[in-house]
Amino acid sequence: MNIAKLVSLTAVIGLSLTTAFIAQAESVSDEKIATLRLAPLDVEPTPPVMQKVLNTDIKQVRNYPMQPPVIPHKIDGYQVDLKVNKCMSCHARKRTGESQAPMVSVTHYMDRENNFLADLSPRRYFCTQCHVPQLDAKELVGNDFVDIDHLIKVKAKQH
Amino acid sequence: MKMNRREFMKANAAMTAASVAGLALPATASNLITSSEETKLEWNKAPCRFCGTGCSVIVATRDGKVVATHGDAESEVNKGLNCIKGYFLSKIMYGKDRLQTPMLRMTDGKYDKHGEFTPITWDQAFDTMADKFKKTIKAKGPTAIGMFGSGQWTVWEGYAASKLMKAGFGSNNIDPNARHCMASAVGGFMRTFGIDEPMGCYDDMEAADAFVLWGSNMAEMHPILWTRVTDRRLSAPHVKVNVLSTFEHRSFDLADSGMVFTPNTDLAILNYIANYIIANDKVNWDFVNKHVNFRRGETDIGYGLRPTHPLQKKAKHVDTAGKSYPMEFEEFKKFVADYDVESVSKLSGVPEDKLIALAETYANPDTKVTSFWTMGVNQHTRGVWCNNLIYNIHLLTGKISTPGNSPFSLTGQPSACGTAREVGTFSHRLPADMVVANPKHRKIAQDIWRIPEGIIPPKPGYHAVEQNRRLKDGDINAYWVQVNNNMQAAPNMNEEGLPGYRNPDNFIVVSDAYPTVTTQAADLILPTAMWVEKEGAYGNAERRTQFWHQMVKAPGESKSDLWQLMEFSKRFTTDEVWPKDVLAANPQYKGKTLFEVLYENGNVNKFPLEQADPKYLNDEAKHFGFYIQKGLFEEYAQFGRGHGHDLADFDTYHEVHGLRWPVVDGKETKWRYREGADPYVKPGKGFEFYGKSDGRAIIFALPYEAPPESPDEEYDMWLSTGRVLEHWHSGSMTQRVPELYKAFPDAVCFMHPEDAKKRGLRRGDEVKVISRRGEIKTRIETRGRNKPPVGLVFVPWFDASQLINKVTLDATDPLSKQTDFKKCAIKVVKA
Amino acid sequence: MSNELHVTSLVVQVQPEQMAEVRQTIMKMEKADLSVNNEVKLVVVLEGSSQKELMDGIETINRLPGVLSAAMVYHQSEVLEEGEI
Repeated sequence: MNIAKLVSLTAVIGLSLTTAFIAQAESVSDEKIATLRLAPLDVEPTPPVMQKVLNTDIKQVRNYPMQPPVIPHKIDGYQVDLKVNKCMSCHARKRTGESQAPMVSVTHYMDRENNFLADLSPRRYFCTQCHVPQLDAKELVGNDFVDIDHLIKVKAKQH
Repeated sequence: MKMNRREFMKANAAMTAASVAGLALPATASNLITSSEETKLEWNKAPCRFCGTGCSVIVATRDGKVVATHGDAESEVNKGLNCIKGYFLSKIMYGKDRLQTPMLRMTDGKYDKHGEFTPITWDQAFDTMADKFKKTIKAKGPTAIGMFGSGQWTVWEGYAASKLMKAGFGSNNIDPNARHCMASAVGGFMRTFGIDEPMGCYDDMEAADAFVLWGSNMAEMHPILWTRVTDRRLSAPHVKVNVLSTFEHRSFDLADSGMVFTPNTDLAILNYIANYIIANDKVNWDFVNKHVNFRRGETDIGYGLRPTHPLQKKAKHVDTAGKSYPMEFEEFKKFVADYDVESVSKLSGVPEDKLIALAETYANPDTKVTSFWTMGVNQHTRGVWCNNLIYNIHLLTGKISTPGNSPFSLTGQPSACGTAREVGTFSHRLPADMVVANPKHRKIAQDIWRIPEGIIPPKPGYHAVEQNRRLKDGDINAYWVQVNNNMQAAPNMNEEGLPGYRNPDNFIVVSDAYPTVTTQAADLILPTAMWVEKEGAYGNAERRTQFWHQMVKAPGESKSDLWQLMEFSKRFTTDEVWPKDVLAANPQYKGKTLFEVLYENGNVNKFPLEQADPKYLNDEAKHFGFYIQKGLFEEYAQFGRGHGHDLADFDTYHEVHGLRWPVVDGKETKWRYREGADPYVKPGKGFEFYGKSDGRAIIFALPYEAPPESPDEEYDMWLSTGRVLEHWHSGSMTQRVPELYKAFPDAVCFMHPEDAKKRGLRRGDEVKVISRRGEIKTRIETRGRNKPPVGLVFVPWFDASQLINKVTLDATDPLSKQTDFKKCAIKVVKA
Repeated sequence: MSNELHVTSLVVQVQPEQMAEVRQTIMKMEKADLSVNNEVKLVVVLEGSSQKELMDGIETINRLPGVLSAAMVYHQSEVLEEGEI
């Protein structure tokens, strides 16, 4: 590290002494700065091999209660259109006995005005607008979102 | 206290319901569910950060972090629903690589265009930046600086930026990325109605008998509006959905009639429908006689390419592209008579019976029709025309401004309407639909802004695509980009964008929350606060203005765009940037900083800090010492009040879940231009298109013209680019949310299986997509959500590792200057 | 026996003069918990081992005299593990 960088490093640390800050207080070359790319702008990187859909059927824990659960299986070729809704052939209330799939939440039986309907609400008809399968892809950057449960536990320990 | 899972679930449920009901949970109540201090969350409303739909969400914060979000049940827009992106809003601010400090390219402690990005202080950043801007203005004048902003700026950020450029630096070189997105819609509105933005509102969806999607894929791009269309279609069996596009996509799943047409032939289809209406005597004469004029538009207007391009040289009417001439109905009838069903079917590839059924839908006086369109129509070298032609058929039949009868231009960005359009952050515009070229409009602006005459230049500045060309040519040398990722978004990156940013004469500043490919091409990076890290306002596609409070602090040293703009203005005095003669004539402005002139002008600093609700953070107001957001908003609102753009007062918007302007006497307006629904329509008129001086909207005669580039022997396929449901624009936020990233991690080239077979390609093969301008590497997808016809491929642009805009053509609509991202000629070969 | 746990919360609109009685009645329901209220709105949390049970509970509340509407805001279901209460 040269002197100039040291000077600016000290200047920055002088402002705030968080770890995140120190970690960032290094110089970065332009190929390294764009974390979702990590290649020079005039070079075309080789695209990763197409990943497979995670097809484990194991529920993934939600980040917060209101999050729509992700789909833990393949949905390739599922027909969901004016004629048929393939997802509901397992997840509809009447089918769950046979399929052992989780039933869609009761909120899905309510219309815009919160009235209960006998069947799935038409506004919830297209499942993939909220529920998506996951591919076996490695994250490019991590995420520091903190689960509320974790925050509560940390607090509880302090008490 | 230890809570078990059952209690935690119940506590959460109670809090969610309480927040919806607007009830506060007392911290000390005896009830188990409400008493636990430990599970207490703070809930507040905010509009979603993503598209132009403008869903409202309820955001939970705890210990300075956003911990959950859910759909706002009280919002009329989304009634408790969100799309997959909206449900993951909680995570968008927490990507591990948030920028936390300004970074300048340096070598040996000095700025160097080829140096490494080195952390510096805000003072150092602004010193360097001010030095570059001052030198540039001194050497070449204010046309040599530029700013590129966004429809994702908050209302007051866009307003403060526009003021800084136009009223401070005296430069009209400010344009938003909404130019890539909504400019043709604006052009269409101004040309047909003389006033911008839709006359109808989302309530049209529950009233329509038929929907027609013109080149729009609402199922992925406006998912929550699609839930309303779906609800209507499946609840009322007589309702029919028609979807037109150049390739089959998810919206076709709900279509009673899906139509795939050859690119650019939408112009012919629209003229055919007008022809059908007239030929079958379905013109609403009462409406047309009272409320409509006919005009013939200029033709052969070029393609918005560089003037040296052969296609530009060949076009006859480049200079008079916007002109039009009066005509009679009989002439119009004759003009559209050429567009008969046989020839249009042949040209477009849509079967005759489907065209006839579509035309009948519009023609039948008993069918209420709502038309929707976005990028398919707007990103079009004849985008303004296409907008005009859609209005033609709604005007011929009088199907407008009544519930369910609605030509509805959807918006891409959360505040493309609220900020880019209403505030007027375009290079030719001022607030409330006014333009810099009009001396009366400039006078109104300078009076409200309290600046002297001669500062706002009469000549429009450089628009988005022109800015990149001027950077490359060295005509703009100091440039500031905020809230967008234009290196990834703008067309023809290899030939224009990249050489422009890396031109050694230029200094490029990029403000962003995350490192993007635009920051990669920058010289100075400014770390920026986002979404609920600041107080904000957005305006959605149905004219609804929505506010939110700051809920959490921005990480590290990041600051909001507003803070950056206003702080930067302190570094300039009028003597440095204003013309000498203006200062001589107005000596009271001498020696003042731009901050004093623009933001301490008695308007913006009118409201003391105490008026800001102490319950919420407001880091910017605290820094400047007055309630800046309120001051900027109230000054801005002066432009529109009493002129058809009335906004409510500032405080109201913090209380309500948005209001649709014009808000007159506290009441919002759902349908404009119709008596009884719109307070601006004079009694007895029935309808009044008051944007035009005679109250009449215009039906335009405009022909089909060929696109600038079509497939040929070598470049044998069409390329269309666009978005996918799971990612917002260039993916800088959504690619950092693990669930969204894993739902669609890498861009692919959607191709018809026959086209793949012909080229010896299989699903998953690595290929090059090549045009005359550049190439990318990607993989072939022959299945999945998009099913292009033979001869066309679709490649989404969210992937920073597959910059498809190296391939696209920078042809624009000559009227709106909006790029056509939906068609150019390419070839696909095995890599 | 089902090991599913369903929780839902409702915003119940109540005739103001009957708020006290409505609260009394709901308090007596075994799987309902009262949360906050004002003169016209009341938040109720319901739990049950199936969605059917929840919907029955909502119906019961809806039919109470003085209740104008009971709108469900939120629903979550989890499978309880062995021994979890």
